[in-house]
Amino acid sequence: MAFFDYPGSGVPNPVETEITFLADLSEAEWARILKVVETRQFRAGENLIQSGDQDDAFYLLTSGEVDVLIGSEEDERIITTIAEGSVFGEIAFFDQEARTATIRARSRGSAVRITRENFETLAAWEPGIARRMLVELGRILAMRLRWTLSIAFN
Amino acid sequence: MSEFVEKPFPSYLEMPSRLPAWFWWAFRIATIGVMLVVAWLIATKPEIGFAVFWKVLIPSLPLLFALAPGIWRQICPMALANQLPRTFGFSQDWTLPVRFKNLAYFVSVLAFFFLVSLRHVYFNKEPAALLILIFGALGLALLGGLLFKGRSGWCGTFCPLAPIQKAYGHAPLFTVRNGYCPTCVGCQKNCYDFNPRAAFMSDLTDNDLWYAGHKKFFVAGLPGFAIAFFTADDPNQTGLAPYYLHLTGWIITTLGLYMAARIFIRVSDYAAAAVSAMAALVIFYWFTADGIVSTVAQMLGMTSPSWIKYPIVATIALVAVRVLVNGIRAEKDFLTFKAPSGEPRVRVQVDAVRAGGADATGDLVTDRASGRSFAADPGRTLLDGIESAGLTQDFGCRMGMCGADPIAIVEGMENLSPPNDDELATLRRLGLEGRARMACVCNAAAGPVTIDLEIDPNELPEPPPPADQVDLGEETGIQRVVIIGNGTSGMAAADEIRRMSTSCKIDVVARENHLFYNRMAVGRLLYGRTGLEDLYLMAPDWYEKHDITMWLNTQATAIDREACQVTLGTGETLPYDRLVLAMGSSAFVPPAEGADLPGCFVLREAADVQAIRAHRQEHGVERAVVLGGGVLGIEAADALRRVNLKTTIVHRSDSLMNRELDERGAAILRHFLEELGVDVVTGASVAAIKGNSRVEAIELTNGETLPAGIFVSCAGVSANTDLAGAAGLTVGRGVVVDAQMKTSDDKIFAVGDVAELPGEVRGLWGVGTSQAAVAAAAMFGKEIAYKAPSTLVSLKMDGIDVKGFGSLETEKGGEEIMDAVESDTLHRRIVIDNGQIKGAVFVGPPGSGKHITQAVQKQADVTGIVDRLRKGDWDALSEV
Ligand SMILES: Cc1cc2nc3c(=O)[nH]c(=O)nc-3n(C[C@H](O)[C@H](O)[C@H](O)COP(=O)(O)OP(=O)(O)OC[C@H]3O[C@@H](n4cnc5c(N)ncnc54)[C@H](O)[C@@H]3O)c2cc1C
Ligand code: SF4
Ligand code: FES
Repeated sequence: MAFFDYPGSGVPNPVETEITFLADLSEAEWARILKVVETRQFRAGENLIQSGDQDDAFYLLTSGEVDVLIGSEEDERIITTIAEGSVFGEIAFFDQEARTATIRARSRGSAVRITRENFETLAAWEPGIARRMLVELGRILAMRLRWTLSIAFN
Repeated sequence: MSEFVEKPFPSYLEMPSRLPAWFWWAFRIATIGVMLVVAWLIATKPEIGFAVFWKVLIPSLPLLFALAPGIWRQICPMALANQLPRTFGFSQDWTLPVRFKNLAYFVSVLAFFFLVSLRHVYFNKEPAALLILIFGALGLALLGGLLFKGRSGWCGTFCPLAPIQKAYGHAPLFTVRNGYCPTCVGCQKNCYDFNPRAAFMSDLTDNDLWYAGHKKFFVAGLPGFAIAFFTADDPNQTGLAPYYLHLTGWIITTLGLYMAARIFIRVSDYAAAAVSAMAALVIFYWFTADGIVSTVAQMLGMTSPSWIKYPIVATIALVAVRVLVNGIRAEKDFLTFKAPSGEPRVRVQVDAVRAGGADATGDLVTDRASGRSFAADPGRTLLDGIESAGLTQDFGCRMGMCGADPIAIVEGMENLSPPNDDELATLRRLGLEGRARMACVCNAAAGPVTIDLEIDPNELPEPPPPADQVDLGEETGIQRVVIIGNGTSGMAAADEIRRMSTSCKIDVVARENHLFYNRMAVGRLLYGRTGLEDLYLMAPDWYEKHDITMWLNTQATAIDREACQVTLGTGETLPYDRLVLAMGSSAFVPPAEGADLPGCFVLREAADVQAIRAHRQEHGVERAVVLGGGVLGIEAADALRRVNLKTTIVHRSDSLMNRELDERGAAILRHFLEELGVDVVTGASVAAIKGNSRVEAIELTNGETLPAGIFVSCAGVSANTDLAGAAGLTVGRGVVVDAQMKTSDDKIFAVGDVAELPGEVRGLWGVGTSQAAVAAAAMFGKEIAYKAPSTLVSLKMDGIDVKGFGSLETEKGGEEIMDAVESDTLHRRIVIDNGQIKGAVFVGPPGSGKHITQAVQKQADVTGIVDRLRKGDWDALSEV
């Protein structure tokens, strides 16, 4: 919330805050994606992403809830909880740098995991879907960047 | 109040107007009236005028600012002057430049300190000076209103009273709606009239530290200024210099205290500023309370008691604490709401994804060590599941034959699909019969399973006790067996022979300096983190346990059939009663010019891959050419691609994998490779390999020249028959054997790639393993029939399923079934003759050929499902 978004000042609130990832894909198209990506099942307490790991996948949380933790092992803090239906991890998908947070399951659940290698495979089989996916990922990054800028320079 | 519950920081637009506009106008006019009366008093009866102005009116303002600053902002005469042009529409409405918006506060702070300091010099005693101050301020406010839009010409910017209002009124106990801005034009930064509760907090947390710093400077210096002001000696007697030294000294003192406290006490900028401001408020009344009360009392003709100051200051202190509590509570909300309404979220339509196949409700297969799980899916092997869960597991044939991927079943053995003959044979060879499973060929059909990827032999159930067996070696007098070659056929022979005789001495001569490893997976040594030890197929203690003598790094150089002994490269000789030839084959190298240049490689042994790796790193090679578009060549190209070598496959035939695939299948495969960046040239071969000291380019027979620093020949193999030929054994394309794997010498057997059993397929892993069993039995006089293993060929490449089997010819009968619609991404074709699958091609994304493998391996009768296959129901294959 901005405290000083003066009406009539003509500066729109620039931040879109919710995106539906690949909203227009049909079930059949999802099935084609799922052929070449990983689907992971997890139990409560399991780490999906380990801070410091070099893992270039992004995730679609198809069921369950996960916590985002930061800090060293002795001093972990939950910074937020991610609910079913969320998309996360796309930054490392692009830059392939080490993870900065740990993602730990709160409950039993499942996630779709898409690595760079998976994406290359998808692009080989389904260039159309892959292209759309890439644009969507770009849109997500852009939205997050705008949001970051909006807190940095609000 | 109701708004407040919903929104802790309402802007004035969201506040109710509790009092009508006419009331405020009346109030404003009354205030002007009072001001004019006071001004008249100052001019005519300065004694009374000064007392009213300096002792009563002005000292009441700080308390008003702390309680309800909005009231003052409604009725302030300067605000009225400032807003007249706007109200009557004759303002220039200029926009205050951003630089001034940022600087205005600082200017007003300096003006405040300076003007107040002049009280002792002029304003407290000289009527003219005070009147100039009052009317000058009104004039400037009016001028600001004439020029600048909104309240940016004075009220919120340059007015010297504004900083003090914000400081004392940073968390007002009562808010009053801004009555001057009919519409907000956004005229200033963090406008106090727009959002009184959030303005000061926003200022202090502004990202412009310079801007935020001005606020901190003011509140930190304010207590010192208050003390200094009231304790200063009369500058008219002491002179200005000591006076200002006194003032600035105190400002700097509390500024320093503030900064020191900030260093040692962990509080927010806001809390620190609020405490400092409230301290100034209390100090102010400590010095002024007496004056206010006595002046009022005097006017009413009374005297005030001397202790009156204390209850007043105590009350002010309570107000200050109340404001502090109010502010610090509000700060929590402020920080929560400051973030733009929540972090952006990205959602996916879970229902669609789940319907696409990502379901989480079924049973799980769990890896005990990592705790990771994947869905128990009867349509998917455990190996596929393990890989999909991001776990690493070595593999080779993916058909249950090589023994690369045994996994221990900790729980739920009964929930797995039953093993087939190939898998049972492999498990038997590994000594894991009934105790583990090959991940590549079993699936969790009926319920949850827990597995261990690393097998700890101590945790496995006891192996079944060996059946009381006659020692066939003792019985037949065969006491010394020499095996040449420690590939799969040689080691399978050693294992089978040891099963038949515990007394027989077994020597294995091996040219490579490695224990038996998974030759099919050597490509993985190029990329990834696989080390050679990961490819070993037998535990290191297997050799000792089975009493097998290994001669590693030792070449057999001659066979003396007369003397029944094998000569080794070391000069030693090994006598034998029976000899097994398992020398395998070597990669074919094209007889082209330059084929001996550094940079020319084959892909057969671990050492080949290590050499490619070293060459690439040493010379920074960027491009590679693979000769051969069969399974081996494509797998090699995939490995090279993964280490970022731009790779071209050169294939003699017109379509890839032409022995196994039809054109449609090959086209899909080619397209897939090209999408991954692997180029394919068909209908061509290598004419010459060019380069000065190492490979630099490959000249093709079609005239093209491809720059490349690495050349890998994957264009077929030839059996290592030299030794056998020199010993006078019958040799064709391999060492010719009969159905018992016996060569033209009764004492010598040949198995695996090196053997040629007329009419049978050669060059496959499973062939050597099966033949070894036949040879071992025959050696001890037992005849068993050779059962050719399934010859389904599958490409071991991530991201694509390619399966080829048998022959697609239908001339001599048989029915062909194919996907009706031609697709760029999926091709399934099968030939059925007499209820048997005679040939098949499956090419598509992962999973496309999942059922064909099982159906072929079972050699199942498919008569019952032909109808369904004709209708395109390929899943029917899983039910045979
Ligand atoms: C990269 C690759 C992938 C493959 N993929 C598959 C596949 O997917 N499916 C499949 O069925 N097959 C595959 N094969 C083929 C399979 O590996 C061979 O068929 C199998 O290894 C043959 O086993 P072998 O024991 O007969 O011979 P080899 O494995 O070749 O072993 C022979 C051994 O004998 C040694 N030797 C030779 N001469 C002498 C001597 N004079 N003295 C001492 N030692 C000697 C050699 O150094 C070698 O170590 C693949 C092969 C390669 C290279
Ligand atoms: S910013 Fe809006 S509310 Fe504040 S003074 Fe300007 S016009 Fe009025
Ligand atoms: S990969 Fe499973 S036995 Fe070869």
